[in-house]
Amino acid sequence: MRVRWTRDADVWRLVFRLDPEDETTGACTDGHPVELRTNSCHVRTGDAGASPHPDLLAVAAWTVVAPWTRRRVTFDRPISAGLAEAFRTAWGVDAGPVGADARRGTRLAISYSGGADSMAVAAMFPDAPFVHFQRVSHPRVPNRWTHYRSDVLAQLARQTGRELHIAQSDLEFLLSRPRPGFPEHHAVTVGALLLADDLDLGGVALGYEIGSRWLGSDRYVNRYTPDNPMWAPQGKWAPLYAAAGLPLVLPVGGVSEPVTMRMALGSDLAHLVRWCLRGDASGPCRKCGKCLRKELILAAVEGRPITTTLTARSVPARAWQQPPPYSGQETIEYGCARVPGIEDTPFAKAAEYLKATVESTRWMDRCYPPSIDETPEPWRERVGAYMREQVGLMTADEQRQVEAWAAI
Amino acid sequence: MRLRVLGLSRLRRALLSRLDSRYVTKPDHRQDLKDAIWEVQMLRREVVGLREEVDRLRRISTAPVKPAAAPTPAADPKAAEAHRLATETAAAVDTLLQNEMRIWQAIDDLSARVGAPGRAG
Repeated sequence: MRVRWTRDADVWRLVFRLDPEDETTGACTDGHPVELRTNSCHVRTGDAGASPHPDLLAVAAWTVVAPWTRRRVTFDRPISAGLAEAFRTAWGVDAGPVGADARRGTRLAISYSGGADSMAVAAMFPDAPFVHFQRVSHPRVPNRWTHYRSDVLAQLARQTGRELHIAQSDLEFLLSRPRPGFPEHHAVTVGALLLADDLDLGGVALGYEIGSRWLGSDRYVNRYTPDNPMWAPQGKWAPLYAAAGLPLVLPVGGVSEPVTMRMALGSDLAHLVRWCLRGDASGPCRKCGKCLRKELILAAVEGRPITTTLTARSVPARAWQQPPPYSGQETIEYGCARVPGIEDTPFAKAAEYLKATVESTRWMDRCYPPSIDETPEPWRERVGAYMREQVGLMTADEQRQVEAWAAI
Repeated sequence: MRLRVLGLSRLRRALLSRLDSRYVTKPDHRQDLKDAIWEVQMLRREVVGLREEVDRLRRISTAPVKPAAAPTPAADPKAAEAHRLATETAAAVDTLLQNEMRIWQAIDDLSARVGAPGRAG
């Protein structure tokens, strides 16, 4: 793969060309098959400033080209020896040319989506700047997904009043299959990478919680995965970010979605929380799968029945009529065990299959300590203190429940 | 001597043709061989097709695609036609974009082989 970044005022353009061994099909780090549509995209960082360190540009490009690259990647400017070494050891990829000094930074930025998880991170680091990724249309791809209201999410982020940098990008449209989305989950950090030198960033915090970090949730394996390739320090991505002087930080990596939900609802930004991608300025749509799932968590946390107009026969509820495993199953267990009158909701069937109890899901109310231990310095102390004081740590027994977890 | 040889060969030919007629004629043999080759080629094509089908199904099974929404009865046939056209055009554009990348890949590969440096970007 050959990669080239060019800058035009406040817009960075990425163009890449496939080497003979590269292909337009590949897999995301979580194993999900993806297909490439086209080879150019842009990121509008909104801030003109010094040119980012080549390692930042290289890692940003890699979040877009990794699935299609088979053996080697050639950047348009020399990267540091440390980054080339990380490509070699973590990916088995020959990266170059080499010739830059390593970069460093000091501040922590939060990759802020506006959902409960990143809002929980924002509550832990009240002074950290936000970098928000906003999807915009690609000039070469007809946008058939206009129901995704990225403009609404950006507007909500602006209303937080926090230091905010919005990275507008069309990079999601590079995927033709399964649908527009990040080629790699890490592409969400493209704004933080390109702005890292301007903002003196030394780390980027993401809202990935215990399900994503430790339980193989989302599209991954749905079981305990200390060696998770996306998010573990010894995985495929952490060494790249560390080499580029912008280590990945998962401040809520040790807590569950019910906990991040409590943290978000308890924060001063609570009125701006939004996980729905379809709703407009007046509020969430309350009709999509995400709204339904988060309503279960919300109801469990607030100890009340679910309010939804969706029925078990509706399309968003279809997944919960099938037997497990479910994606993010631990959270469904937590909700099914706690929500009163679950048998009259779209989750009735799932509750029957899962047979979860308050007792069997109590471990999700506490923090998994190894997650604190793996937090990069100098943020480990803050994360540890917050978890000990505000959330509480899991007992040895509860930790064993995490380590024996498998969604079946 | 020559006559004997000719006679012998005539005899042999007669004998062989009689034997052949009891079994299969040479033209028939040739035709059989042609048919067999044709059959093999057809099978080869079928195997290639099946392999593609297997690959396609494997891709589908690893990437569970949301089943297409049941076609709602279109109130306005013009709207339905516009939707069909839009969907098909978008799919066609996707193919064009992918082919563009593959063509550049081939051009760069050729340039590298003939020693002319390819232009990235």
